[in-house]
Amino acid sequence: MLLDVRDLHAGYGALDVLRGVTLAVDRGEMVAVLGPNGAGKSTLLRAISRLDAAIRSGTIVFDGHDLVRASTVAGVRWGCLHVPEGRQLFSELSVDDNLRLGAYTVDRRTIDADVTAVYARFPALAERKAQTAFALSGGEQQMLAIGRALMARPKLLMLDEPSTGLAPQIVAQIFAILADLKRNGTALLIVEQNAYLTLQHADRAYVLEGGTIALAGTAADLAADPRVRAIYLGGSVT
Amino acid sequence: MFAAIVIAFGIAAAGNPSIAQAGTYAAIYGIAAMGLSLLMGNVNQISIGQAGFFGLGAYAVAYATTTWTLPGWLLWPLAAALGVAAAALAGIAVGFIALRFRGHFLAVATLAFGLICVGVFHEAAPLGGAIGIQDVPYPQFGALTISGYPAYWFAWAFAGLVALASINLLRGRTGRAFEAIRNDELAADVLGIPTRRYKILAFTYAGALAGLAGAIYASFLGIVVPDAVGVPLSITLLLMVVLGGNGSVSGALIGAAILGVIDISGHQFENSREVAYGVLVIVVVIVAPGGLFGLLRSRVARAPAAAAERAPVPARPRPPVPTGHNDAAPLAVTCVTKRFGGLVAVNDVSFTLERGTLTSLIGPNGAGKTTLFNAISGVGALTAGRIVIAGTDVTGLQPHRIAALGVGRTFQNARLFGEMTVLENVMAGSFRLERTTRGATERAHATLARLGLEHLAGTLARDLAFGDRRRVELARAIAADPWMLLVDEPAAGLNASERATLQRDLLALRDDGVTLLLIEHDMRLVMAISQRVLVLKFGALIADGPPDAVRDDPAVIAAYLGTSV
Repeated sequence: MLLDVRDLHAGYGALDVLRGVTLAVDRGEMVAVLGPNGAGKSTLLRAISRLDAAIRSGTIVFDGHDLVRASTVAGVRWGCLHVPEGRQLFSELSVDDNLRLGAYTVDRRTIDADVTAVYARFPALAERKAQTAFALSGGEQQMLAIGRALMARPKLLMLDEPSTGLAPQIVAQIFAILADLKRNGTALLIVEQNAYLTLQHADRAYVLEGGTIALAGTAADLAADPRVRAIYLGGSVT
Repeated sequence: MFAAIVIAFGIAAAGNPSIAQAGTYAAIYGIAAMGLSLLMGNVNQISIGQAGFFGLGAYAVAYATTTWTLPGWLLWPLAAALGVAAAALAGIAVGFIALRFRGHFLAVATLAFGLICVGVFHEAAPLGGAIGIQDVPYPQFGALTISGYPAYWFAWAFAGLVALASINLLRGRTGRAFEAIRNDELAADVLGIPTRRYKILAFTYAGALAGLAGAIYASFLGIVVPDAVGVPLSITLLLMVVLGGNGSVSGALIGAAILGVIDISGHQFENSREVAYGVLVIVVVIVAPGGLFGLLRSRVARAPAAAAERAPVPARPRPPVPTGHNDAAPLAVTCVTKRFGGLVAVNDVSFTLERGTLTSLIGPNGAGKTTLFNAISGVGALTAGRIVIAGTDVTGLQPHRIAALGVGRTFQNARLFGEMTVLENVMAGSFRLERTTRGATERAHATLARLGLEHLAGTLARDLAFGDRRRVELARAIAADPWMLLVDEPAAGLNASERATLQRDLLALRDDGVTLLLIEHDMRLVMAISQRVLVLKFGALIADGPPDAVRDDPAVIAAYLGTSV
């Protein structure tokens, strides 16, 4: 397994959010994490990338490295990249500078080639390379956020709500890009509100509820499972 | 104890004019510092312009005593009253300014006020321009001239009165309001505490005290010049408060005493003095953020006070829930729209609640639920629309006015007053009903008993476990017996047993006749306890009906789970 999370408990201050989450992502897989608001989806990503969520117990092993004891930067260096909710671009900087800042942990000699590769993948960004990130449309901003993460040469890309605020055809475009990344061998862990659409593209999925895994299985099985809807909208799961 | 030190020092200084003088300055600065300490430490408002108020008091006395012809026993008191009144009026004006600014913007605004005052003193011909006013007479009461040694007792008599007045103010209802505002202004406002009025009061009080200090100063020194009441004095007062301990009367006096003595005895080191002040403050802020008095106090056990608070109080029978003013609907929201720049957070929403029902407001993240709650409770102005609570149009009213109608509210992130105990938090909740500390204490105990939280009464809110925090917030919201309650995500972060308790508490409130509107993401809870569910998506109401119908509504399913195409 590329990413192996076992019995993870995490939270913020006095608040416990994750109450024992076990999850794995293999190389070249697209795995979705679904669940209602407040279930702990974003906290899971924030714990794996060692941001502000405090880990109480459990293990996170990424590509043979212990992430629980590692810093965020170490995780990035090993190839575990987080595209956070709301993009979090450097909005006053140009598209080009945003991309280059994504390459902070890699060998400088490869940066130019990598930037060219990102522009080849996202022609819309190439046309706007001198503009500030602020001036981009929502879809372009999401592409830039993904492109910036690609600059660190990720083995695993974790995306938090990439479809938020985007029109349906732009969302389809983003998912096409993700499918292409997966074909090239990048593993993907994707947190999404849009459960049905995500299940169409993912290989497997976990449904979080109240900080624990309520359901897990192949995307096809879960798409047909009425319990998914019950978790989101209440009612009986059994 | 402080009085004893003052008296002992006064007796010891009897034969030594320069020591008595230092003591007098300590009293004068102490009066101004007590005002600033209350403003900064108790209400969390900064002012770097206190010398402006000080100057108003000083110039009023200097001008009046040199121009008016009145009998001696009347002259100084009238002149001082003029100075205090002028400073208090200026305090009201600065207080209004402070309603618009916060943090460092407020610091700059008050600094500007101080600079303006010095500028006016400098330019005003009747005030002597740059030379100021000379030969200000000493206060004269019959045969007694207040100068030199008697001035020590004169100044400390005022300082003592001010200390008593401040302690009295802070112990009562005003002190409770200040404490709540200091901890969380918004939460204080929705509990019915008129935060604007209290902030202006604090500025007025601090201004008046600085003016009084200036009045004593002018007649003690006999001369007032603009440079003496400039920015350096404002900074010195600030240092006294920080050094002695923010937010305590004793701290302000300790700080004033230390700097007052250094000021006089260190005259030959004029230039290095400012450096010493700077170093002192940095050391104090790092080593003892509570100031010198904070250091002293932390060694004194606070246990007896906590034990006293836990003395059993008979739980009062629960009063019937007032039903509002008339038979009008408890809440009618009509075509409400709220925009933030280009974002429409709430889009033309209308609904009416029925009395004594539990309605849930649900929707995906960013649907506008909390924005709508804010609109109903008066936080932020509406872009369009009308909100009527029990027949009263509350559109545009301040939060504390809406609370006064009998509407309670909790927050998504449980905005408790962290530095206050659970009991004090719940006491603040009954602010609009209970005028006396005793009444508020009894009601708070009764409310805690009702929710089974009595054992937490003495705990500081910031030390509470997460689940308890939510329940204490609920206790605070119902302490004033609201007949309508807006509850924002009460189940977030709770475990299964805490959720069961919450469900029981909410249903008990509904059965008592309270109208409840609930924002919640836990759908099992929502579906189990709601009589009606409203669904928001991108700010618009997309569904409204009983739980079962809403759960099977295709638009709601699409809002929550997306669509596969």
